[in-house]
Amino acid sequence: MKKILLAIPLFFSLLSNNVQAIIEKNDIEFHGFASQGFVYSPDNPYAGRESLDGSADFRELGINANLTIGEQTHIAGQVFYRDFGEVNKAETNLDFIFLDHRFIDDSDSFLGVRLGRYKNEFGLYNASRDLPMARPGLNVPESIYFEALRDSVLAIDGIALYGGSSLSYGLIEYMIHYGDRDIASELLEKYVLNSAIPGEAQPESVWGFKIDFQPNQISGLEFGFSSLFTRLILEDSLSAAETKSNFTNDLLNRGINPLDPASQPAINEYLSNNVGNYINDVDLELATYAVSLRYAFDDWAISTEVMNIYADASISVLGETRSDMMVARGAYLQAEYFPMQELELLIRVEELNLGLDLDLPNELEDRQNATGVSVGVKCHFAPNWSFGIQSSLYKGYAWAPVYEETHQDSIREYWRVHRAELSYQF
Amino acid sequence: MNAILIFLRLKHYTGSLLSGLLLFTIFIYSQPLKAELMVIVNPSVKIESISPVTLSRIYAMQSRKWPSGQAVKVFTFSPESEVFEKFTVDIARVQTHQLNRHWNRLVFTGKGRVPIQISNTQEMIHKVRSTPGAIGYIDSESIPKSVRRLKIGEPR
Repeated sequence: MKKILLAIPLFFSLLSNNVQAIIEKNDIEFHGFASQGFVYSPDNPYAGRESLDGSADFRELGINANLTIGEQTHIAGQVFYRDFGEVNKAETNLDFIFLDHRFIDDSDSFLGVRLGRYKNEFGLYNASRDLPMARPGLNVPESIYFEALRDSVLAIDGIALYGGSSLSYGLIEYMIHYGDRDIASELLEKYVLNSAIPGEAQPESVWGFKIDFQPNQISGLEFGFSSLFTRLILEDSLSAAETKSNFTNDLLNRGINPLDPASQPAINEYLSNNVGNYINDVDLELATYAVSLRYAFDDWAISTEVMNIYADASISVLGETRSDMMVARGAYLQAEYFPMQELELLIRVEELNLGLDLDLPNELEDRQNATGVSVGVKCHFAPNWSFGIQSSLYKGYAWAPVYEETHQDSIREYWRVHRAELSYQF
Repeated sequence: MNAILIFLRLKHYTGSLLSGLLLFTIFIYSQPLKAELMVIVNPSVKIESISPVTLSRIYAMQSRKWPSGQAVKVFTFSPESEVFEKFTVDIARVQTHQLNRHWNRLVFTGKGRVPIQISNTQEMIHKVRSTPGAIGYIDSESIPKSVRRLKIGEPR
């Protein structure tokens, strides 16, 4: 798949002789956006401890270009900078770059292909979760689009076939895609197991499909079904013998005799709290499904989504393999009210249950569930500018972003997050 | 003032009844014409009417070709303008806020482009007139020359 990504700059270079002519013909467009956020979470850390006293370490910047080559083809790319507390520390990424070509493009139907790194259009908001002006309120619903899976699902390096048909009863749009994506696996490992695993948990492949339907009879109504399938395997891991040897040494270093039957409770407790260090193999198959519904009428937009993640996990600890099927469930319902063009009001209720059923460290038990309610207001006070504030009350920590020292912090069951954000786009 | 002078001259020559009728006619025609929101296309576009559903899909950039196969070139006013809101809600029957978000998603996911923004009516007329396959809308008292007005068909 990397060859595909390498081919796109080559494609650009082949076009270089024509670039000036293309610009003169207005066939290239540039757009961008920037946001500066402030987060105050007085009860629990949010993406890092600085938020306990209020942190402005939340900002985004995106610049993109869209180059049209004839009526059927275009190339689009975006560079994205993100500072998200201690989760993303001032990272700049190639957000997407792909070649898009339509084989069929008439008044009633279209069929096309995207090749390269493209945004994964899972659910209503995954593809636009980083775009301030397209988010409902100041953040996407965390019960479905939680931070721990962001890297894994945001964009995919591969190929996507998409299309749409305008039928007598409505518009159907669909997309099927296949590819892979290197992820920064450490935060995901900490999210699931509370510690980093020796080795790198990487997706072997990612594929999925999505279908949307907009009936002609009810303007503003939209149904969607999204799915995503991936398999995570552990690369460069330790062998079973190596993990056993490390475990024995670590116990001895802590004054625990692994051969003494009386030490068994201490051994169990130590293993439970440090299980990630002694994993020698992971094979995790994930199947994720989401059903979406949005209805925009008059000055209102009502949205709801339900997501299930089925995880077929096979994890070896100290050479002993345990297999489990786990189901995580998330859902939200939100109402947005637009009393005037410049103003948006939001209320959202949501819930997430991770359904993890491994031998988890004790403190992760508190991180299995979350429910929450958020209210917010966003004002488009000038063309291209907006400012918003949002307050959330949460019970449980399941969707809290994981950062380097997450596991060292004690957490409260009920907690608040207050956000403010200024954004601009052109 | 001109209407009064004409009335006085006519009264002198033709009598009060006829001049009264003429005054009424002049009064009616001297009222400002009511502006009307209309969808206009370049003369190269070979359709007579368009449904709100089709219009909404053209403005959502989901439908990029006319039935003839000609590419659609879409022009719009600023989303902050009153005429934009009137067009989206009353004619295309979509919610302004949802169309705005849809456009943002198109641009910032690289999937497509948004309609070209026009700043005033004269420029809109000029662009639609001079661009093959163009569609736009204006709030106008009369149909400008060299563009065609599309009838708005049945809602579905």
